[in-house]
Amino acid sequence: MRSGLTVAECMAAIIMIIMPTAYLIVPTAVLDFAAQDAWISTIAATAIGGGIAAWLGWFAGRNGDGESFLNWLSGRSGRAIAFAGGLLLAFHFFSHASRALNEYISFLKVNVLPTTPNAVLIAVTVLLAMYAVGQGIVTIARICFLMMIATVGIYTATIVLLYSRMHFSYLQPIGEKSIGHIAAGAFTPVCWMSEAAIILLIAPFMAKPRQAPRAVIWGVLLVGFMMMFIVLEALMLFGPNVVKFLQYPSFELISVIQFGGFLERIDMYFIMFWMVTVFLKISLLLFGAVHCLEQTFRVRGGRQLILWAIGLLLTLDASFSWPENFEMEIEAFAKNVSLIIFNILVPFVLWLASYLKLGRGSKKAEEGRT
Amino acid sequence: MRGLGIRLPFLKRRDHSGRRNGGGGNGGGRGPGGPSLSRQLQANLNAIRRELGDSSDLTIRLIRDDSGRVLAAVVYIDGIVIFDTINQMLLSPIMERVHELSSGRSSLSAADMRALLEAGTIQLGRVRETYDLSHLIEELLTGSTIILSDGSSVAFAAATRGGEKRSVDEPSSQTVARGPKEGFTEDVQTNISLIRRRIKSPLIRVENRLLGKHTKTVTSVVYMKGIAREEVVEEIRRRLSRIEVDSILESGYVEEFIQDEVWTPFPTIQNSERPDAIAAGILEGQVAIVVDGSPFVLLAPVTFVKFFQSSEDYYQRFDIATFLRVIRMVSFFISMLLPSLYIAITTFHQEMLPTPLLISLAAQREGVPFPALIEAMLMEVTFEVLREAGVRMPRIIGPAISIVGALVLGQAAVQAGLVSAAMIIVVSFTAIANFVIPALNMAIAARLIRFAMMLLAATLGLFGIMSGVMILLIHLVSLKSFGVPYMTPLAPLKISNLKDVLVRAPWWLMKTRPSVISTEDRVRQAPGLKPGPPKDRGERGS
Repeated sequence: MRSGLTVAECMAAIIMIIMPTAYLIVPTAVLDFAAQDAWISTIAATAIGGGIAAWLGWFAGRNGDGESFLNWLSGRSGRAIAFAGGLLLAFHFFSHASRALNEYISFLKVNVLPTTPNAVLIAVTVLLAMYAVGQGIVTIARICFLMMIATVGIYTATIVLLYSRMHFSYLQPIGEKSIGHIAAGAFTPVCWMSEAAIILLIAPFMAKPRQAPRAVIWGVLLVGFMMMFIVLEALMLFGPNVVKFLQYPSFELISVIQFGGFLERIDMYFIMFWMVTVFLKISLLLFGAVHCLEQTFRVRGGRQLILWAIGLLLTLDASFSWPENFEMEIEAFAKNVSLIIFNILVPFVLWLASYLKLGRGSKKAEEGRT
Repeated sequence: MRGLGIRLPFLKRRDHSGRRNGGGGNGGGRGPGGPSLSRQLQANLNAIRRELGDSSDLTIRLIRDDSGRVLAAVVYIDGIVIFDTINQMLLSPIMERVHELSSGRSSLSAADMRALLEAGTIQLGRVRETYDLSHLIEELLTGSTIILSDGSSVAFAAATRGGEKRSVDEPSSQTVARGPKEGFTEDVQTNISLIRRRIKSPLIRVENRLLGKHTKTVTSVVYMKGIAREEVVEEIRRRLSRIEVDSILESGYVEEFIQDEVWTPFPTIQNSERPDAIAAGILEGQVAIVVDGSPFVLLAPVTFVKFFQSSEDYYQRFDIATFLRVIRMVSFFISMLLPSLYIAITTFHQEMLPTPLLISLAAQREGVPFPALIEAMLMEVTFEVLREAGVRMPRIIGPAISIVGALVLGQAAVQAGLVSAAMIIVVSFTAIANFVIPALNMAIAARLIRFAMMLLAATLGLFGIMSGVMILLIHLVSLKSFGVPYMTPLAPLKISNLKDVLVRAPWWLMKTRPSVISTEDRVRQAPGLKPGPPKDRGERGS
């Protein structure tokens, strides 16, 4: 058996590429549209996201020999398509990493280190992500798994600590919102769930690549469960009308926790944990960008060079490309559209190309036999 | 009955390649093909004297016949042999038999000498034939006694290794409240015997080799055939055979030469002074490396969690052992992170502290002229100096230094306003937590990391600490020990191996050996061993 990622580790990587930033944005995005029926939106989103994940997993699992995705694609659809697909995916992972980094640094600036220059925070984060990428996807995914286990503990602790403050009456009236509202509420979570497309790149690193569908489906289902859990918590604690006015409702949830009279600002401990998960997300995205470029340009033995180049570019992009007064809400729609394009449409086109070429190839093979 | 025609199994023909027991050592740098021995006894003796510089501890006993003619010589180095053994088992019988054989002959032939030895004249366990001078010198330096005869170009090396050595005593490190009190000594044979006394299995394999051009240190690889992974044993053999140095004085030398990763504070090879710990490791599929001159025996491969396991865990009840293990893990994190958390919170994140505590800390720090980092560094460095002094100084002065260091210096520093009382508490608790870690090498790693963490905390607060933790995590997960992932069974997850990580499961539940270390032969106990009270037959019958 090849020594590679297990299903659980791959699943953890899927969760970690979605959840850290979705955690900040999803409650507001869903409650904005679906109010007290937001939890129904997350269930709908999980169902749709699960379907997309199943297709992505199936597509990834077709490359069962452990060959890199772009190499495999090149063999199936030709070099030009693999080259174009590689460049598009590299661009997507890079720009998404830059955006996630910017959001992360903005958050740190407001909540953790208000006086530290942005450039320092960005440089430290990028260097850390580069170190992780340098150690390989197996290392990153294994840390994701450890963090996933810790996440379960933290979520359980928040339920226990917040239970007495929850108001189940805030869930009523159930089903009041129209299907349109519920669907609009489900849109953002589905867009985030589409990030499971990274399975195309990491499936070849699995010990059994054909198990990719299992990993990605379970990953997205767990993400859906977590999203529903956060939305329900926010809803039952603050009510449907307050959440939309909170910048980071997920952290506001934690900040209301009081544990005796000797421990204050428990949210800071939670933020520390969340910081680790964002490191992992940025590392996964950086891995995606570096891996795609490496495979697209068929670089042999020059991975460190690409890693340093992309790292430097990411530092500069995150430092200078985003306006000071950048607001997530304004960009949210554009971001969702880009997620749909790069995580669903581009893989679909690549699959179609591989399918069509396969058809011709098999016809030729059959003709050759006859 | 003694007869010249009887072959005895203890007599082994020496392999000319210089290898012993399959070892691939460099044999002290002298390869095969050294100068052959002469048939002239005097020439051989001169050659030995020349090689050893006519050292005063080189002892040559000449064996003469009744007419005073020199027939043979017994050569050894005083102090590294058992003198009584040479006298009783070697010299006396040889003298007696030589006189019998040489009556009326001018010299003894190699065949005569061999026949003499095979006849059981030498009542020792191991006698080897030696054909060249370099091997002869090698044997001599490792405590063998050489028997040379005139007219023969073959020498015989009898195992008479001995000399003064420390007796088996309680280990100075890794002490336990419950469990065996025996510890390894500096003698490799004693150490192997301590392991063999615990594992009386024919599967035990011992492979010796000599390391060090000048020290010719006996290094033994001990493992269980069929339980240790063959690829790990082979890798250890390969790495040991690469070592070409002039000296190996302690197992630490070997450890540095064969470890997987150079740039890491974490140990990738375990060491122990305890025979029971080493035996337990061998039984789980680990491979032991015993180095002559060191009471610390190495074990490989090793995983991170092994450094938090103590022998005592397996002698205490499982619930107590689990509690102690959790304490150790928590102590490890305290030892690494407590001062840095203090620095980060008091410097960057004061809002995390409850108001009364914040006021109290602020009042304590009011007169302190240094920032928290300098204050912490001062105290940490002072403590490290005290600790180092405690190790080096004569034991009788120890308590005095403790009083001066801990009480006088600490109290005086607070009164002088150099450090706050809170910092003294933080540093003291950190130091105590460090002592809880059972493995000294892991405790040292935590001490080193602590300083880096303090710097990160002082520059970037909690963000810095999390960055440091992340670096450690990435490093730990990517680390390997002889091909085994260091963070197993956590990353990668091996559920069947989790019974001996944070929780020490009851013995009757640990049915198999760790799968990442041992081979397919993993079952170590029969099923259904869970104890319970006997069923009351009387009640059943009624």
